[in-house]
Formats: sequence, C-alpha cells, structure tokens
Amino acid sequence: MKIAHISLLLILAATILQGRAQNTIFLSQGKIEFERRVNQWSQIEGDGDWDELRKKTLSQFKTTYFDMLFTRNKTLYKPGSREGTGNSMGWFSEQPGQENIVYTDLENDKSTSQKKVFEETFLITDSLRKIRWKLTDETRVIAGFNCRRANAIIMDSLYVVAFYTDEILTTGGPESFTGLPGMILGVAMPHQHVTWFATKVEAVSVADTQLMLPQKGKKTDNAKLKETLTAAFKDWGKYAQRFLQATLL
Amino acid sequence: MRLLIAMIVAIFLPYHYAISQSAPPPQPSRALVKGTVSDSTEKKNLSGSSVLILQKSDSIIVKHTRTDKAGNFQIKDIPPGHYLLLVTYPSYADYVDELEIKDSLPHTLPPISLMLKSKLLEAVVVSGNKAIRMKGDTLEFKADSFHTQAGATVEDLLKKLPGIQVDSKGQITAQGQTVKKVLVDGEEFFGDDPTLVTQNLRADMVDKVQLYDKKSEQATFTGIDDGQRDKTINLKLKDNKKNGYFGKLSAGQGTEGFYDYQAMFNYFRRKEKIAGYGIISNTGKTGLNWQERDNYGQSFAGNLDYDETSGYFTYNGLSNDFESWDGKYSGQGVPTVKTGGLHYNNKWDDDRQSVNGNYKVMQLDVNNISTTNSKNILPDSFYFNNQTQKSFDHILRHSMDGNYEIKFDSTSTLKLAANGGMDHKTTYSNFVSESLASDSSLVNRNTRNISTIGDNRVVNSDLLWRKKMAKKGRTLSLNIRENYTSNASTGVLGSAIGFYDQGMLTRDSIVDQHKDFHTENMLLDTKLSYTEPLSKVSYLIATYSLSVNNSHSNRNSYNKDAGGKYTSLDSLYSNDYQFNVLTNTGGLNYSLITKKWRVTAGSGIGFTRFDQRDVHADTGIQRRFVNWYPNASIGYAFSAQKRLEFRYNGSMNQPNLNQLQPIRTNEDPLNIFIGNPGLKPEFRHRFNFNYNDWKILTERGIWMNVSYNFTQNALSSASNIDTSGKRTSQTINVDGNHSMYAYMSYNIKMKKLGMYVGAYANFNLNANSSIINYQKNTTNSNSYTFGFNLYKTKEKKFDVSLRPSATYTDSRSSINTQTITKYWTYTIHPDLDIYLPLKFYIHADADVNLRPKTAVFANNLNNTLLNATLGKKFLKKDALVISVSGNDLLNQNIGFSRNTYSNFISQNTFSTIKRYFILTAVWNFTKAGTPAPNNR
Repeated sequence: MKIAHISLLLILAATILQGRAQNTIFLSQGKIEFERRVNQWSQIEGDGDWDELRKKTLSQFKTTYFDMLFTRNKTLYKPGSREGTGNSMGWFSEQPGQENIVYTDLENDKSTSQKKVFEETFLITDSLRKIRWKLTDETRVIAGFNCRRANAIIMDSLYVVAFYTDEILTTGGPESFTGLPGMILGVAMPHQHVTWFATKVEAVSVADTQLMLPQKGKKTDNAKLKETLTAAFKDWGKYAQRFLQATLL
Repeated sequence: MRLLIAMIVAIFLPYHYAISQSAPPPQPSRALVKGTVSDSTEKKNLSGSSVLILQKSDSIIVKHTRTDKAGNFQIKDIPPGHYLLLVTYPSYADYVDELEIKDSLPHTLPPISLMLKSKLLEAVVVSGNKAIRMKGDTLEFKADSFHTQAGATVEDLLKKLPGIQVDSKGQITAQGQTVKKVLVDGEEFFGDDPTLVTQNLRADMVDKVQLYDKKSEQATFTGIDDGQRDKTINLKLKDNKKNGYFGKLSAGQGTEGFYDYQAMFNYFRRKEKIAGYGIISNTGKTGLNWQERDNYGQSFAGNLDYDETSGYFTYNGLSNDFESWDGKYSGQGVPTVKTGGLHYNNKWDDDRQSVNGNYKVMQLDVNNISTTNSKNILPDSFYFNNQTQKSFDHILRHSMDGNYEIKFDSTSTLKLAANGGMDHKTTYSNFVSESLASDSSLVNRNTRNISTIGDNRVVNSDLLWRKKMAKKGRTLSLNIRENYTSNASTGVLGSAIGFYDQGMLTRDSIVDQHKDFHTENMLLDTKLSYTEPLSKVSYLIATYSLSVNNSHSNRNSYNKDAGGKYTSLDSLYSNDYQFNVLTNTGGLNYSLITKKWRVTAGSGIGFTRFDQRDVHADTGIQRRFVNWYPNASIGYAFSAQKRLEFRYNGSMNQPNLNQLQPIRTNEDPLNIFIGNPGLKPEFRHRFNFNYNDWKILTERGIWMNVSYNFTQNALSSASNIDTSGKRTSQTINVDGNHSMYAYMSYNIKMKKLGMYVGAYANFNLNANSSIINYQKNTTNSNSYTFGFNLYKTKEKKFDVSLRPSATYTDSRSSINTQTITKYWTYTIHPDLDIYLPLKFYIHADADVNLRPKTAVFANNLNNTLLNATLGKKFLKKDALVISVSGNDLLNQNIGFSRNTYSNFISQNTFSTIKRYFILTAVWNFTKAGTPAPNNR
C-alpha cells in the first residue's frame, strides 16, 4: 500500500507542480494487488459440537493475494506472490477460486479463465458477464484511489457491492467483475462472506505480451461447466450450491 | 507532463466508443447524445471525464464513456426514456442532470462545466454519554435498550445511540470522528440495497453495538503501533438459537420376552442444554449411539481436542467398556439393561467459559453359554480341549464426568476434565471341560465354579493449560493428569479335576478356596511442552514429563480349616506386591510443515526406575532402564485429495502388575499362571506407510495402508504342558515377534449405472515367538481377505448394497511342522431399503457366513442371519414411525470367533440374541418453531 501511495503521490505531485488540477493522470496500465478474504466460518451452518470442532480447525478468515496486470483493454488476474494468511483443513474445506487465473479482453467482450475444481482444471472461454450495475453516491478511498460504489445482482440472486475508480480508464476488475466506468478496486459479496479489495496499485508499464492467456485445463464454457459440476455435486446438498456459485463467479 | 497525458488520452481515443457495455443491437428509434465537459473556473476542457447515463428510476448504469482530448463525448444507441446524466472527474464535484430521450434525434447537450470540490470542515459535536458500558477500550451499547420500530434498519438503530450521528448519505460520525468501518461479527458491513436484496440486516437482530478505536491494518500486522486509530463500529448479532425442546419416545414389545423402551429429551435455552435419557431393553441397546449423543448427551465431538501446531485430533473421552460408537452391547451373551443419564452444558461470557457434566447409571445383566474347542500344539503331539461355560453377570454402575474450559484471552486457555465411577459387579461362572490326547483318549475332566463380588472405583482428572506467546507459533502448554483405580473383590473357587490314563481315572484334584483380592493404582503425570518457531514453516518442540505410577496388589487365597471356615492362608496362591514406576522423559522434535510437505523427526529419552517389593517376604529389587522414543515421518500432498505419508516410531511398553507379581493363579487349575518379577519393558518399532487419492468429481478413491511392526524383548509366554494336560505359563521376554498389515481399496462410481463399486484386500501376517515345553516356538499365522461391494441408491425409492468377502487363514508352528492349519471362510452381506407409497418402507439385511470344517474344527458352521423390518411413517415431518421387525428370521444366529495364537488354535461359540419379532412405535417430538435435532 505504501509503495502505491508513494508512487501515486509522486505522480500527483509532479502533476500539481506542472500546473492545473485537470491534469490528473488517468492510469491505463499497471499492476493491482487484490486481497481476497473469505469468512470460512460462515460456511459452517450449525452450532452443534461438531460444528464448534470444525471451527477450531479453521481460522475464521482466510486471505489470499492476487495480482492483476492491466492495459487499456485487457486484464490478467492471477494468484499473486504475496503469501496469504489463515488455514484451511481437509478437502471439504477446499475453497474454490484460490488459484483462478482470469484473462479478460474488454474490447472483444471475451474472457478466458483457468479454474481448479478439486482434481480437475477447467479452461473456460466465454463472453463477459453482463452486470446491471446500480450506481450510488457512496464513496471511499481504496489503495489511494477515490472509488464510487455500485450494487448489482448477479447469477440471479447474488448481491454484489463494487467500488470503482474513474482515475483508471480500464473498465475491468477482479475475477469476472467488469462493466463499471473505471477500474473496480473493491468487491464484496456480503451474503457469501467474501471480499476482494485492492491493497496496492502500481503505475508500471505493461506490454500486451505480458498478458498471457491461461492455457491449462479442460476446455469448456460457463454453461457447460455449470452442467458438469451440477451433475457431480448432485448429492451434496447446500454445500454444493455454495461451492457451485463460488466456482462460477 | 501535459503532453504526456494528451498522448495517453490520444492513444486510447479510438476505444472511447467501445466501452459502453451491454449494448443491445442498434434500433432505429435510438438516440445519440453528445456534449463537452470543461472546468468552470478556467474554462479548460476536461479530457478523460467519465460520462454516465443512468436510468432515472433506479440508477442502473445504461451507458458510459470518457471525454476525448478536447473534452467532447458522444454516446450512441440510447432508447427513449428518462435518464440521469452523471459526469465525474477526480477532485471535481459530480455533475448530475436529468435527461429525457423522446426520439431518435441526436441530442447536443449544453456545455457541462465541473467545479472543484470545496472542502467542508464539519463541526465536531461531542454529546455526553449516558449509562453506557465501557469494556476495555470498547464502548458497548446494548441494542435492546434503545427502542426502534419493528423492521427498523441498523442505521435507524445507530441514530438513536448517544454520540453517534448518521447523515443522509449514511455516513456515520461517532464522538466527532468519522467511522471508518462498520463490522458485523468482525466482517465489514456494506449495507444492503433494499431494492436488490430482501434479507436485510434489521435492528432487532443486533445484540450489542461496540464502538472502538481500531489500530491500523499495518499496526495489527506488524505489531508496531503507528499510533493511527480508526473509529470502528462492530455489531454483535444475537444468537439465532432459540429456546425450545425436542425429544423421542420409543416403545417396542416383542415375542420371546424381548422388549426395548427408550425415552430421550433435550431442552435448550440459548447456549444452555439440559438433556436426559432412559433405556430399558434386552435387545442389545446399552446406551446412546453417537448421533443420539449429539442430541441427548455429551457429543463425541466435545471430547475431541485439536492441536493447531500438529493439526492432529486427540480423543479425551474416558473409555468405558459398555460405551460404544453405536450404543450397542458388543460382548458375549444376552444383555438386559436398565440405564439412564443426565447431561448439562452451558457457555457464557461470550463463549469464553464453558462447562459440561454428565451422570449415568446402568444396571446390566448378562447371561451367556459358550463353548470353546481348542487345539494345543506340542513339539511331538497335541491336545484337544472342549469347554462349556455358563455365566451370569450383574453390574450396577454409576459414573460422572464433567469439564470446564476457560479462555482467559485470545492467547491462553485452561481446560479441566474429571470423571469418576463406581461399579458393583457380581459374577457366577460354571465351567465343564475335557482334554483329549491326539488319539482322542480322555486325559482330564474338570468341573469348576467361580463366584465373585467386586467393587471398582475410578477417579481421573486432567488439567491442560495452553498459552500462545507474542511470537507467532511460540506456545507453551502444561498438562497434569491423574488416574486412580481401586479394585476389590472376594470370591469362592470350587474345582474338581479327574485325570485319566488310557480312559482310566488315575487321580483327582479338588480346590475349594476363598479369594480376597485388592488392587490399587495411582498415576500422576506432568508434561510441559514448548514450541519454538524456527521459521514460518518449521518448529522445534521440546517436552519434559515426569510420571509416577504406583500400583499395589494384595491377593490372598484361603483354604477351609478344620471347622469348615476359609481361614487358612494358602501361601502358594497369596502375595502382597508393590510396583512403583518413576519415569523422567525429555524430548526434542523438529517439524516442517509447508503446503506440500510435512516432515517431523525427533526423539525422546526416558529414564525409568522400577521399584518392586514383596511386602510379606520384605524383599525387593530396584531396576533402571533408559529408553529412547525415536520418531520420524515424512508426508507429501500432491493435492488436497492425494497424499502419501511414511511414519516411524519406537515406543516402550511396560509389563503390568499382573505379569510381574510373583504369585501362582489357580482360577483355572489346569491353566496355572505364574508372575515373573524379572520382566523387562518391551520395545516396539512401528513403520507405517499410507497413500490416498480421492477424486471428488468422478468419485474415485484409492486407499492404501501398510504397516510393519517388530518388538524387541516382546512380552510373550513360556508354557509347559504336562502329560496330564495341565498347562503352567509365565510371561517372558522374547525377540523375533513381528507383524505386517496391509489394506488396499479401490472405489469408483460407475456413472452409467449410477452404481458405486469397490474392491478391497487386506493382509495380516504375524510371527509370534514363545517357549513351549522348553523349546522355542515360532508361529506364523497369516490371513488374507478379499472383498468387494456394490451400492446403488435412488432417492426416496431404494438403497441396495451387496458386500461379499472371502478370507483365507493359514497357521503353522515351528515346534510341530506336521500340523498346518488352513481354511477359507466366506461372508455375504446384502442390504436393502425400499421406500413404498403411503410412507411405507421395508428394510432387510442378511449375514451369510460360510465356515467350512477344518482339520481342527470338525463341523461346518454355516449360518444365515436374516433381519427384516416393515414400517410406516405418520404425521407431519414423519414424526411417528410404527414398524414390525423380525430379528434372525431363520433362527440361525450363533456367536462365533476363531483364534490362532502361538501354538493354540481355538473356536468359540456363544449365546447371542436369536429369533424374535418386535412391534415398535417411535415418536419424535419438537416444540413448535424450534430447530429439530441434528440428523446426520
């Protein structure tokens, strides 16, 4: 966060020294680090002795870090180098979305994502998710950027809160969240107990060649993946529903 | 600089019109909107301004773009409607205007000028606090004491709290400072948009509102306080647990005098649980099974302890010979039980303190008739022995246990567990046996009666204190454990043996003795353990423990005096012995835990002192042993579902008092056992390899487990069998005992058939050494089992499974290589559930056992155990179930076991519950509106 602040401040200071406020730099390439934070206890429904025992084996929060490289019209979101915190135990606690790689081509309305689902890796190519964002006048500063809040419902029922900044021209975001008039630096899905927030933004130059398409995995699209997973999880009850949603995000 | 920006903007200019998302195919009636954005004071064009068109009704973004270098924008394809035009630019105030599109004509908007944000200094208002709790640095409001209307939002509640203001935008100010974060049970609260979400957080769901200064993330992370504080509000939600009760009443009455009555009840009020049960049954039920324990007793989970550093669970439940996972009697004979229990648990002080307690009482009567046929292999011959035993046992047991746990803070916890029990046990056994020589001629014949009255007392306690130090991974723990048992019994032994030679009675031997035994054992063990992190992934664990284990056994046998009273002490069968063990153990272990690897290695060293004293003879010996407890393991996780692990550990096992006490025991005068005070501890080496690979999506699993053990100074036996068929034995130390166990299984779901198929194999290979008639004997006994299983289920229609298996056993002893025992046994276990219309269901299962005769066992012991139930569910949520069951429909049940040990092969059959029919009604009741019991 500090580095971002400093680099940004330097740029801003330079801008201000040059003259006018309208000379604000609009970033159109760079690197963003996102922190993904999950409340693992929210998935333990009951409060019986077995549930209490499971809580002992799991930290309440688990964080993982992702790096996103972006150019004006393309983004690549992938697991970052920074080590997360919190533990998870056993394969029933395996969280989807911890190793996702998402390549988004905003210009051509196309994304390619690599997602690991237990022992299988899928390579999903599809168009971008259309999200009807509802703008609000709430603002907050994320990683030194002024962001504005928008809310939406995705996948029929999931409530999403997003914060985007108009100081970045690229209209991308973490995972498959796009479609706001600037870069999404924060996403929260309060009822799914998961958030993605930018922890630093670096104004580095990024060449298109650095944005490599993910390659690994069984080729599919979102509809087919949903079908495959629904069939595999059909006897799993509520847990499966949550898992499915998290995987298809 | 200005040039640079201009360039950046220019580079991306061509894309401006492509940004708009969710663009529907253009239609003729759609309009184009264009305009210019500039700065209000300097009248300069603002390039890069964000221009948005929102639906007026709900602020949904319809289109958006950016202004070009000249500050111009245009947005195409806007259908007719009412819109808001929003223009934003960093550091400038937002520009909002209404926009109405009626036709497809291009709209040119008047020039838009943006104004720089003026900073407003908000007035700082601090209002005086009323009766509000201060908890550490946290100010706490009890939500219920501030009245809000039904359906009020959290914002409504906050507005009511003194010192807190909520402005029209939802911005919260507390004590004059802006609240940076609102948390709900520790997670950030974003506020729900009521037009998008129905499940909003309501004021009446909040229990407490806590206001505190949160250290910055940086300070929390590094532990270095940078002095920055953010005002934070945490909303603590009410427990959604309600008050209520549920329970179960079950009544079953059967033929042949069988019955099964059960009543269970659970009352709960928030985190407090009071439960009880009562069972009267002679169908094998002796207690709660694990599911019932979750609801009506102390859950097994409550006895599991988790260690964060190692990731292992330990079970601290105090074992009890009539308590089992399935709540059923597992011994021989037919049990009749009357039992009941009470359970209480509670948590308070924000779950920082918890307590639970249990009391149980049980009266159990067991009647058994068993027959044992065995073969004793000697260097040059063998003996057969056939014995029939009738026994009646009566036990009255009271037991209590409880534990208390307190979390002093987030770093230290203290757990105290204690239990105690009292048993009063009366047993009567009658034995009739005969021994035959290899030519089937009678060698001896014995009739024996033993009656005993005994009282057992047990008091155990366990104290565990754990502390996490400031440095992550550094922990200290102290465990103090105490076990006390006392066992007092008196009884009478009557035995008459006739010895034969070539079928002729040669002599007889009578024993008529009164026995008076008292055994006491006291263990005190203190263990201190310290973990030091060497890096983020490696630890060093140092332990020290001091253990004192003192036991005392006083066994007296009395013969009848001239007056017919048991007063004359028989010194051969009497002894008073004290055995004290003092052990000091220190250990050092290293462990490395990464995402893929898990490696541990280390050793303990123990200094043990034995103090053995014969009280009557006033003689004693003191012996010292030094023992190593090495261990090492290496594990690798290919993925979360595919793991491999190899382990080794070495451990010492002390001989027990029974094996040591220098006394002859003559409870079975044809099998005399003599204690051996010179025994050394045995040392076991265990190697274990296991591999598992489970594919979740395809439901394919491979499990493999192989273990190999060998024992130095193994506690084994030396026995002498004389020509009259009488055996005298003693525990001795031998070398060369080893065993191997292997298990492999493969399971897969066959997608097309919707069927689960599995196959498994397990091998048991044992080599045991002993001394028989002064000759060393090594018995190799091996068994190999192969089986498979099929399972198919269709929800609410049927479940069907079939599990056949075959086992091959072979055994040979080095003292008599002529005698080789080998045989196959087979089992088939079909199981069927059918769910019929009108809530009828059928269950049927069978155990088909094929046990062909062998060289030793002259009879085929084949049987088929068939059980079936027909039932119907009634009422809402199937609360009432009425069923008719037939147990062992073919009336073929027999208790059965075959054992091969050393030079001794035996087959045992015993009484068990046979055919009966029972009509059962089960009523599950729940107070309306309360959660139902856990049904896992």
